[in-house]
Amino acid sequence: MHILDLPDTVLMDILELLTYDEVARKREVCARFNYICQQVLNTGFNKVVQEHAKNFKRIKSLLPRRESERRNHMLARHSDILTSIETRISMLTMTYSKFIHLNMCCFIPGRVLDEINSILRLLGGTTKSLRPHEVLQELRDISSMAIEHFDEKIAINFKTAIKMNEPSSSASARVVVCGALGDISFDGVKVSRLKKVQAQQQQQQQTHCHNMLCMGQKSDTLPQQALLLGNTLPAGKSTAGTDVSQCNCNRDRLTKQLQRQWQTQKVLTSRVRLLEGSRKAQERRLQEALGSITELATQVSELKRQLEDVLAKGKSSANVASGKRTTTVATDCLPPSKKPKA
Amino acid sequence: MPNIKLQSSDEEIFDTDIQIAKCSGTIRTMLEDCGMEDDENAIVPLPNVNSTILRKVLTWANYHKDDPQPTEDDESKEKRTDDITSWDADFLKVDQGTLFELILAANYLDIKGLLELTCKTVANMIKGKTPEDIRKTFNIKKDFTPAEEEQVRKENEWCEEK
Repeated sequence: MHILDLPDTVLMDILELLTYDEVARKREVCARFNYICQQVLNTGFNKVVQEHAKNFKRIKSLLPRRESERRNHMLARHSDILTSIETRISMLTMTYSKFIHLNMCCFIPGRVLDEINSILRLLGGTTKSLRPHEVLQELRDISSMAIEHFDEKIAINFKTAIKMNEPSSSASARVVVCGALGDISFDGVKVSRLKKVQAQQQQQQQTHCHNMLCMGQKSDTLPQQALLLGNTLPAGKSTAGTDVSQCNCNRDRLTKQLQRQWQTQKVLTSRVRLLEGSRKAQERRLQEALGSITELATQVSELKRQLEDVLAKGKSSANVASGKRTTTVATDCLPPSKKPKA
Repeated sequence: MPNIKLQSSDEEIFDTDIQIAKCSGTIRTMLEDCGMEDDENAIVPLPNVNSTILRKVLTWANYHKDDPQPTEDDESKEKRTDDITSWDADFLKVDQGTLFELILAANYLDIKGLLELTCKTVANMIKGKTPEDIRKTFNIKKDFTPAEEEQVRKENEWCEEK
């Protein structure tokens, strides 16, 4: 009996026992291993998302409700770290999930899953105040590396493949950012009114765009059919003298009208596509900005804490110094009284 | 303790303690759902397990009959494969074919402990090896097209040290 005779579920159980980093490397063994490892990595990512949500819920329930009390709570850093991980997860989701749903790849960076898991375990195992910057450093580095590599080297080929297959589907396949992201709502960011209006317009256009794209494709073919019909019909009736000229007139007018419509449609669809592209780019930039904002926020709080530490240390050392001074003063005072005796 | 008769695929009958047989989820449900528990002469057919494998499975079940029931799976638990007892390790000193058949039997009979143990053993055989080593160990043919292989290699390139 051969290892590849085992059913998929058992092979998945076996590979689940390895680290995800190793699972990712084992994809190179053979096609079946590749398939199984891909499944393991995808379910691994889902598990991590769930595990993170569970942890976040637990920590949130332990924190006080008032912001001022929460800031100084023992678990405040835990919450900061989990927020940062959430940002990372949503960035990863945006990068990979679309292509995972299209069955074009799997969740490639297994090592990122291992790192998130180890951080979650660390958070679950201690109530000690942690230093977010140190804890998150590795995760930040490797997830950025993975995303950059994917965007630059892998996704480009996928995108051309998608475009070749079905040009309209890329517009409709919107990335679903993980549910827990509700906290980082877009309303939270101050958007000027003008921009809001623009965004609304874009949204409206986007809702139209599906219909338009479909219509665009249909209308591409419609005028052509009409033209063909127009060409064939009068040819049969060419004997009726005046009718022909009238008919020709009508036909010309109709074709012109149709062509004009076709042109406007074409212009519109191209504009919609352009807008769609820029909207996506903006959304992406916004997400990235949000990510860096939360990261900066955690860094700021971390720095504050360090400052407090330093201040506290400074005070205590000052105390010690003053204590020393008093003693030295005291010893300074003593000798003169002793000297005469000697 | 009442006994029960298990019949392997090659029609050998194993007279087994009911408590031992019940470590298999499949047999347990069969007994409970069919009300065979009180019937001394009932024969439970196991068409997917041959006598060699069934004998091994029953040896294992007999040794582990007093083990505490495994608790619910805890996802956050770290994956470990190095916690195999020496008896289990000796028990699994068998050729690859037998090991895989044991896995299939444990899977079919729904014996969590044995399935976990056998999976860990295979995982240890995979762990830390290069793809080429794994192909050699398990006699796997590399059936990638060059393009597929290149794609996988390229996808994994992101974390390679430079």
